Amino acid sequence: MRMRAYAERIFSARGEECSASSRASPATRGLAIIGAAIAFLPLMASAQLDVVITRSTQRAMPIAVVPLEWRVPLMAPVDLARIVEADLERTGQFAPLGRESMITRPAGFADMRLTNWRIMDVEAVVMGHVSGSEDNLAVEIELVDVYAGRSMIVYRLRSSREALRDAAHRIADVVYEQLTGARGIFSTRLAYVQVTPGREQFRLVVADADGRNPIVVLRSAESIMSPAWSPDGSQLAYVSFEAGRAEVFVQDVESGQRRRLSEEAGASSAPAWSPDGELLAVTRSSGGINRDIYIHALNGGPARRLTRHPATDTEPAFSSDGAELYFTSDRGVGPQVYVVPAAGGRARRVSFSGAYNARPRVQPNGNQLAVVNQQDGSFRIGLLDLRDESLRLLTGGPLDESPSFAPNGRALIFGAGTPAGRRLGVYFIDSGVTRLLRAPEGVLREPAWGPHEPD
Amino acid sequence: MKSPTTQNACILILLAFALTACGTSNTASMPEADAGPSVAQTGPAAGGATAAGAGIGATATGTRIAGAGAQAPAEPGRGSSGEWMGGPLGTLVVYFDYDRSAIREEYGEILQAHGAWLAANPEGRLRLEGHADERGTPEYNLALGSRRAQAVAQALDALGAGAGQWTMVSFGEEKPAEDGANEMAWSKNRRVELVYE
Repeated sequence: MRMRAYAERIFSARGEECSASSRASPATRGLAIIGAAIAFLPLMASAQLDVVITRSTQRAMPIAVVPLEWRVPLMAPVDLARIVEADLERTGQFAPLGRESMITRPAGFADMRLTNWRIMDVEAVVMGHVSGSEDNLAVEIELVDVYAGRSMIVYRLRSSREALRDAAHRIADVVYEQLTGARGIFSTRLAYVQVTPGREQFRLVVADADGRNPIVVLRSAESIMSPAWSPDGSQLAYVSFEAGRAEVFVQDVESGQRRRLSEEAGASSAPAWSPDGELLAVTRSSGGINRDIYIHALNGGPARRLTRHPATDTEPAFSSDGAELYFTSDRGVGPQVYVVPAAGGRARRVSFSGAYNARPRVQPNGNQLAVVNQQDGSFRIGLLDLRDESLRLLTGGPLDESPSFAPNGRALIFGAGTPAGRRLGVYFIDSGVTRLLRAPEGVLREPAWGPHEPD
Repeated sequence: MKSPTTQNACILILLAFALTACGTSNTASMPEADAGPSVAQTGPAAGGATAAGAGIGATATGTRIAGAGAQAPAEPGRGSSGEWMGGPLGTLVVYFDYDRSAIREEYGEILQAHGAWLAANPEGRLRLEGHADERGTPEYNLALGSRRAQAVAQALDALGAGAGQWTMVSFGEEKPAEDGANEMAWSKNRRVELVYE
C-alpha cells in the first residue's frame, strides 16, 4: 500500500453531525450485474497523493471487509478488499475490523457463522471471491447485515486485471449506498491544479477520488485556474493564462482536444456548467474593466449578459435545477453571495453571516451552499443553509478556498491553506472528518470533484 | 547596481538592456516576467516532452525582455543611454491595501509624473498589470487585480494620458512578487505593475 494514514491534527474541524448516518433499511435490490468494466488507460502518472487523517472518528459503524477469495491461478495484482476498506474508512463513517481480528474468512453468506462476527460487534460484513480467466475476471461480492442475519446484496462485476482498482471502487460504492442510503463517490474523479517548481510548472491533473492515478491533462508555463467538470464528466472547462490574460477553455478529458470558449475581446474566467451541460456561465470584463456574468451556449451563438452592475460579479454556480445562478458580488460592502434567475432579473443577497462570503457551490441533493467565509482574517469553508441563512464553518483555515461538492452532496473537497502549506482537503459532512491530500512535489490548488459516472 | 545575475535569462537578453533590467530588480519594483504566449501542451501528455514555446528564459526570473535591439528607451525614468534615472518615473509598482483598489495618497506624485510623461509622449505605451495577495478566492482576486489596474488607469487618464496608451490585465493572485504567507509578502503582492512596452 502506498497510501499512508497517520494522525496529524491540523484541523479542529467541528463535527456536530458525528454519528454515522443511520443504516438505511436494507434495500431489496436483488442482484445487480454490471457488464465489463471500462478499459483503463493510465496516460501518465506524475504524483501519488498521500492521505493524511486530521481527525479521529467518533462514531463509526464497525464493519469487516474480508479478503476476497482469489480463485485464479495468477496472483492478484491488487488487494481488492484493502481498497474497498480504505474507501469506506476514509469517509469516517466506518470502522473496519483489522484482519488479525478476523477469526474466519468466509467468501459468502452461506459460508459464514454470524456469531463469529457478532462477538466482534461487527454490524456488516463484505466478502466475496474472484474467479474467471485472467483477462475476464468475475468478481462477486456479498454484503451481510450481521444483526438482521441476512444478505443485503450480491453484486457481480467483470474486470480486467488492469481495471481491478476501478472494480474495487465500484464495490465500495455499492456497499456505501446499501449502508447509508446515499450514492457512493469512490468511482468519481477529481481535477486540480498542481504547481511545481521549474518550467511549465502549472499542471491540470485528473485523478481518482482517492488521489491515485493522477494524469496530467494540461501543462503550461502560465497559470491555470478554476477547473470545472461538465455534468457528464467528459469535459473540463478552465481558465488559462497562456495568451497573457485569463481566458476560458473547454477540453475533452480523454482526447485532450480543446478550444477557446470565445474569441470575443476581453478576459473571461470562472466557468460554470449548467446542469444539462449546454450552457457555460463565465465572468467577463466588459471594456476590460467591470466584471459581470455572461452565459454562453456551448453550441455557439452570442453570449447573453446576465448581470449588469458596476461592482464585481463573479464565481457563478448554477442551482441544481438550472433555474438560478448563485454568484459572488461586492455590490454591497465586501463580497457576498447573491442569487439571480438564469433568465435574468433582480439579484437577491443570500449570505449575511460575516463580512466575506464568496465562491458559492450548490450542494447536490441538498439545501446548502458551500462558501468561503472570512472572519478575523481566517478564510474557512462554511455551509450556508438556504432555508434559514445560517452558516456553519467546517474547516480550520487560515487560507482555505475553492470548495467543491462530491456529486452525492455528502462530502466536499477544498484548497486547504494550512499553516503547514497548501494541500487539498476532503471534508465528510456525515462524520465531520477531514482528510488531506498532498503531493510529494509542489502545491495543490483549486480542486473540482467530478460527477458520478453515467449509468 | 547589481551585476548581471547568473540567471540565464539575463545572459541571453544581453545588450545594454540586460544591465538596466537586472539593475532595477533591487528596487523590488521590477515588473514580473513578461513571458510570451506559451503554447500549452495539451491532451494526454505524451512522454512528457514539452515544446519550448515560451520566450527564452523569460519566466520567473524577475527580468523583462524589453524589445531587444530597441534604440531609444521606451520607458520613462531612463536616460538617453538607458540608464536608470530614479525619481517618481522610476517607480513602477503601486501597492494597495488589503481588498482595496483605492490609490493611496503616497502615489499621487508618482502617477502624476507617469501621466504627464504619457501625455508628453503620445507613442508611449503602458501595460497595467493588476495583482492581489493570496488571501480570498482566486476568482475574486482576479477581479480585484482588474479593479486595481483600472484605478491606476483612471488616475493616468485624469492626468492627461490618452485612453489608447494603456492596456490592462489582471493576474489575480497567480503571480506573487514574493512568496510567503505573511503580511510582509502580501503587502508586496497587492500591486499594479506599470510595464512600458
